[in-house]
Amino acid sequence: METLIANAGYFWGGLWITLSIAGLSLVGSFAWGTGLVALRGSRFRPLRWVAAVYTTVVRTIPLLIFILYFYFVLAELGVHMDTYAACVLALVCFRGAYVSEVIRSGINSVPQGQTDAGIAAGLSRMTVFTRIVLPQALRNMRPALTSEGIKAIKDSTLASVIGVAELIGRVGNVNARVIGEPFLLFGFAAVVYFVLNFSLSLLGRYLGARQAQKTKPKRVAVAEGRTD
Amino acid sequence: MLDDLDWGVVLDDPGRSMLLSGLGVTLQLTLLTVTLAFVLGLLVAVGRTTTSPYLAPLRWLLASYVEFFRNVPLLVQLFFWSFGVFTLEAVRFIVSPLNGWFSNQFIAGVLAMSVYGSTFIAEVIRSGITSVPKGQLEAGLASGLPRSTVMARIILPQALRTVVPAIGNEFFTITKNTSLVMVIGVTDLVFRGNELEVLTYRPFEAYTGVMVLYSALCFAELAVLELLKRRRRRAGAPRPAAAAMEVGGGR
Repeated sequence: METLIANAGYFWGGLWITLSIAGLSLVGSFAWGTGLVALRGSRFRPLRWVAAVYTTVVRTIPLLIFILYFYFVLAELGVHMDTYAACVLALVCFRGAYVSEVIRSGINSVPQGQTDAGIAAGLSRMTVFTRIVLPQALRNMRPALTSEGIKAIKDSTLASVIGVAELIGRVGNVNARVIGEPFLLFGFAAVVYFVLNFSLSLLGRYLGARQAQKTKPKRVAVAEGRTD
Repeated sequence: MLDDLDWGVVLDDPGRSMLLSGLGVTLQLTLLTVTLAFVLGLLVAVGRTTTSPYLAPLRWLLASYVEFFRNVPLLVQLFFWSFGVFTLEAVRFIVSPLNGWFSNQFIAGVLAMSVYGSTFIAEVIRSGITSVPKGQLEAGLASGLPRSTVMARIILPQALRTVVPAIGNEFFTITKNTSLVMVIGVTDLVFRGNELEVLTYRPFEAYTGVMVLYSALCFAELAVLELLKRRRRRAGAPRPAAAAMEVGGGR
């Protein structure tokens, strides 16, 4: 217990680094994921292919290799980044491929009739997309959005492998210095990560329940089936 | 730099044999973890779908098991098993008969990944079990079969058939997750790639080699999954329809 108290400030700093990596990579992967969706819908065929190949290939490569590759290989090519930047960039490129699939299936889940009706009512294509399709797509994507948040926090732990001293990295450092308290230290780390992720999933469930109340009774069953 | 690439680093020995031995370890890890995670996940799923009021504490325990172990990052669990559980003399003694084949780090890795993977597989199988119509259970019980037989012979075969693609995805995820065991010192593919990089100062070739091998492994797995799905569609699609017709005809 004294070990935890003595290192409280150190761990607290690590927690903020963890959260900043997760937050940045989450925002970045949604931006990149949206970009990939736009590329896949582009009128220029080679662009569509590139985006499709990218999303497929990235999903067959483990994240750790992605991070190592970004860190070591980009340095060799003359792009020197610190470990933090390399890690966030690798996470964004990696997660973006998964997020683009989430966004795509969210948009595809909105019936074509909605777009047709909007255009028939004289709205511009842009307005139809931002005011009609996107709100419904986002609502359908909600469970996936929560789990992307959880994944971002879990993925941030890999930053410690290339030497970013975020939470688990710092716990590992302390464990190497203080002999004989691995259960306390790693148990503490496990509890912190559990609290973070579990509150995210509770938030997702709460939002799902609220959404189910707002919508028609017929949709309640669908929303319930989607929560985990 | 890119203008003096030397692919001999990965295509000739010692690089080639290092990466191949790493690939072998990765394959062993994957197979063992997939098997263990599936068995654990199946047990948890069956336990969670029991209905007896006496088993309520068990259900509660299993629910917390799933919630806890799937929300803690795998890396943290690997550290916990490797630097925590496997430093205990008792644990080392229990697994010592296995040391002829596997190192302690390897066993710690398999256990951590199996526990982590089992929570996801348990949820998948549970959703499969709940998707089987209740009438199946009732019909089985009404015809005098014991509950365990109904579960093993009637509910589970149908449940598992519906979740084959989802379980396949979990296996795919486990394959990729095995890359993490390098942090606890298991000599898998990524570990060997790292070693090769240190040995030759050629990160581009070494990590590209690792990436290609992993990608090939995952694509092979995806191809098998796709094949399974297609066979299922061909063989499985008419089956429910025929069954429905039989039931309808019987009435």
